[in-house]
Amino acid sequence: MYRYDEFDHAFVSARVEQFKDQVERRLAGELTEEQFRPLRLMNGVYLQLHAYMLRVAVPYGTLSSRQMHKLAHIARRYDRGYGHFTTRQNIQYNWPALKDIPAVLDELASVEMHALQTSGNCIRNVTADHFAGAAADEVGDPRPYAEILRQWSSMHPEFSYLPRKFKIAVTGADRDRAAIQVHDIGLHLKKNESGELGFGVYVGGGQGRTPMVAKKVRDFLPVEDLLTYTTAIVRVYNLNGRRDNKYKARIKILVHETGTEEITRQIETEWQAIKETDLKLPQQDVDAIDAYFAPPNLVQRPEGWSELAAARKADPAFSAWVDQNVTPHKNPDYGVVTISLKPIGGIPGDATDAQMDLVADIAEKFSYDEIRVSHEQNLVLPHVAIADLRIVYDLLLTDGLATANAGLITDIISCPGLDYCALATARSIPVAQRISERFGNPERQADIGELKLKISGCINACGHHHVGHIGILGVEKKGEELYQISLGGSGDEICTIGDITGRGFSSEEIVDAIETIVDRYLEIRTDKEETFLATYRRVGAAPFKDALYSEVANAA
Amino acid sequence: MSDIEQPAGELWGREGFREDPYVTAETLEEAGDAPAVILPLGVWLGLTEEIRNASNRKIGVVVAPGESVEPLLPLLDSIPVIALEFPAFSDGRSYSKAELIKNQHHFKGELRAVGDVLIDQVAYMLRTGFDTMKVNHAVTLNRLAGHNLHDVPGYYQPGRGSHTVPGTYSWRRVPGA
Amino acid sequence: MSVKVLTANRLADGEVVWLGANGEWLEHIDGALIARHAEAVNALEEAGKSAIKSNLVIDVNVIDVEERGTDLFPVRLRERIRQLGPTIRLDLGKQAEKSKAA
Ligand code: HEM
Ligand code: SF4
Repeated sequence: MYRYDEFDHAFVSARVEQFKDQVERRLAGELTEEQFRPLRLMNGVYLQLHAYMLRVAVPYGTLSSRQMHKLAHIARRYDRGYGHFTTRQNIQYNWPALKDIPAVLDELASVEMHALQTSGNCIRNVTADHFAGAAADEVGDPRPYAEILRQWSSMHPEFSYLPRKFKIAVTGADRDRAAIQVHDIGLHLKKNESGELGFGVYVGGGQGRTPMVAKKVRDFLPVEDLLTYTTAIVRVYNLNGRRDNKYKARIKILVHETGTEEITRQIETEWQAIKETDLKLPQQDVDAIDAYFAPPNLVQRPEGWSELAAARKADPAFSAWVDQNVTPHKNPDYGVVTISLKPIGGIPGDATDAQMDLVADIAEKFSYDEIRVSHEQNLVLPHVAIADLRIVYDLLLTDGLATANAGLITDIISCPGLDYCALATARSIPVAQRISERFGNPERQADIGELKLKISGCINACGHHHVGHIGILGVEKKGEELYQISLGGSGDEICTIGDITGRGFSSEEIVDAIETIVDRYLEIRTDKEETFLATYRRVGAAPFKDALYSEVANAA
Repeated sequence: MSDIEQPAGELWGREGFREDPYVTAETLEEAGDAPAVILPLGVWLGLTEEIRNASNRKIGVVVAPGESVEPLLPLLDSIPVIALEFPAFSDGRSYSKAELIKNQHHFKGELRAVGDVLIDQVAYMLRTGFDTMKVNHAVTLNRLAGHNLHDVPGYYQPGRGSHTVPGTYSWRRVPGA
Repeated sequence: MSVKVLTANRLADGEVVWLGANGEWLEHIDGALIARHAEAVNALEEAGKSAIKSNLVIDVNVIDVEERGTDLFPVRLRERIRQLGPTIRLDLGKQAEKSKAA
């Protein structure tokens, strides 16, 4: 993985020093909140309901054991013993004191981490496929490009005061695990006919109150043009994006209002003017960054398969975990392990300091020192030998980290909602917990199969509800929490925004309503192979609406 | 037009504060016989070529964030100063305009930032091509007076006032002309 | 009938606080200064403004509460959660301190 050189170290420590100075001036009353707010946001410090919140960037979701140990240490020393992994591949601490935050940033800097650009109207932490560098279906590792973009976007002089936040995601496989089509820019790394690497470029996707699927503006962009083309896109946006209305300020609105053809023309015109400038990437630089992400030297472990077969036979629970949480690796002796942060009835994405330490230790011994944070709020061990799966499973089991539910209905994405978030209109975590309990039976969830359920506590859609196969949005109506359901959303390569079913459900009704939908799916699917999403795409909303609004109404 | 009239002596550049030779006016008439004047974009564009190029006075132009600089691009050689407005620190359009004017179209005159500038933005402005600024933010003025630019030791982008260091990535720069 | 109190988060550590009848910022709602009519609400708002100026607290808001016997009960769920802590972690926030004390 990428290692800071002196340049990066000097940059990050200068920023920490600046922020220390700013915090001191704020506490001394030399800066007003109005002056300080943009400064703290630039350093990832929000105010939530109960306390400050610090959002730490995990660039493209990649962590070493050392870094994970540090995150655990921060949770223990400066917070309340846990952290929350988010859909943006970040970690959030919910209770730090403002006066301690400079010290936390120092701690982070000591392991090459920071909280920069996790907030504000700048180019945010660049995200990537969490299976990058490991997945069997990958064309190329997206992380070197995400790293180049991360560097280039750091304190960008032209693009730090954009109309609104700007999110870039990169995927390295045709199977899109980074939800690139709901980002401001989505990059799909692929090969052209002559085998050269480049990007399919998507612009103007996003969630929030006006969800939109990104438009493709270029089918193949050579790697050397990555930064010039991105600059052209962001410049067109910076100059023309709306600034009169915060809710219309994202690039998706500009793309929508301008039209894909015209916006593409503007981008191309701007690009022609800057294509041959200093930002054109020399191959040697790409190679140098690439080298940091060279795959680890995986030892051959062919004995794993026979051991695995025996271990599976002996323990059905282990076998179910392998089926659900282990994904094929490029190297047939290895697997990619998803560590579910969704224990049945638990809080999605939360991990204790002890759990973080445990994962760090396991990664050090059994995953070539690498950990990933997925946008599905899980952790990933990218390189685990098939021969080590059993021991890894046993270790995970010791602290509740071996839930066999990756991709199933209890693998719920949930934003913090009204339990923490100052913008929330309803709680989301308790709804996730109750749904998880309702469907927690292993056989039952396995029978239901792949089903992505996502919950947000307000229209900002941090919980990705628009692209949930089943999405839940919590709103406030007459002082009560009310939950709207949408169906058929998907954030992968066939990206769709879910359709709202109709009137919302109270907190008491919502879990039954979800069960009604799932039961109807089980009745009408052609067979077990037809997933919920496939069924929905075949039959549409009608059968589900029927079930929801006749049965629930009757029951009430 | 925002109010950019300030006491003289508050124009800041890399060398420090100096007196601003320009007056700001809504029309040429209003400027009286001032030798150096800055006019709004619409007014400036309405001047005849003869007046613009008159040798006895300098006539610059101020551009609001919502106005396009396109019409100025073919005329850059005849403009002594272009002032780009920052009515609110959060409106970043003028940074991109600075890039277009200075770096893409090689404007040789003075590029000036006027308005609500935070101290943390000054370094960004210098890097995107601004030469001077006329700031109304008290904290910024104080810090500028103390020569504290809040800059970082290295940049991850090319830009004015920085240079490459051999042996590092092509997009990186360090401060210093 | 609902009455009003003034709440905020403390600058240095973000702790939720209410303006007390004694003029101090309190960590618990008991003892908060209660405004029962428009003039008193204005006074709360003024107190809020000067508290912001003196850099003790941030995010100052006047909120509706109900008086239930001697207890103050915030009307909005949001404020009840601020008063107690996350509903999904009863071991955290003020609710935890209270139960520890009990
Ligand atoms: C608690 C503090 C948070 C605040 C104040 C916050 C604020 C917001 C706002 C205002 C938006 C809407 C942006 C727009 O439509 O222009 C948004 C979107 C989003 N946030 Fe958050 N959020 C918070 C926490 C989170 C968490 C915990 C996650 C991850 C689980 C997250 C991930 C996202 C994502 C993925 C989107 C939608 C994608 C998009 O930008 O269109 N946020 N957030
Ligand atoms: S969706 Fe709303 S409630 Fe949930 S984290 Fe985002 S802003 Fe907060």
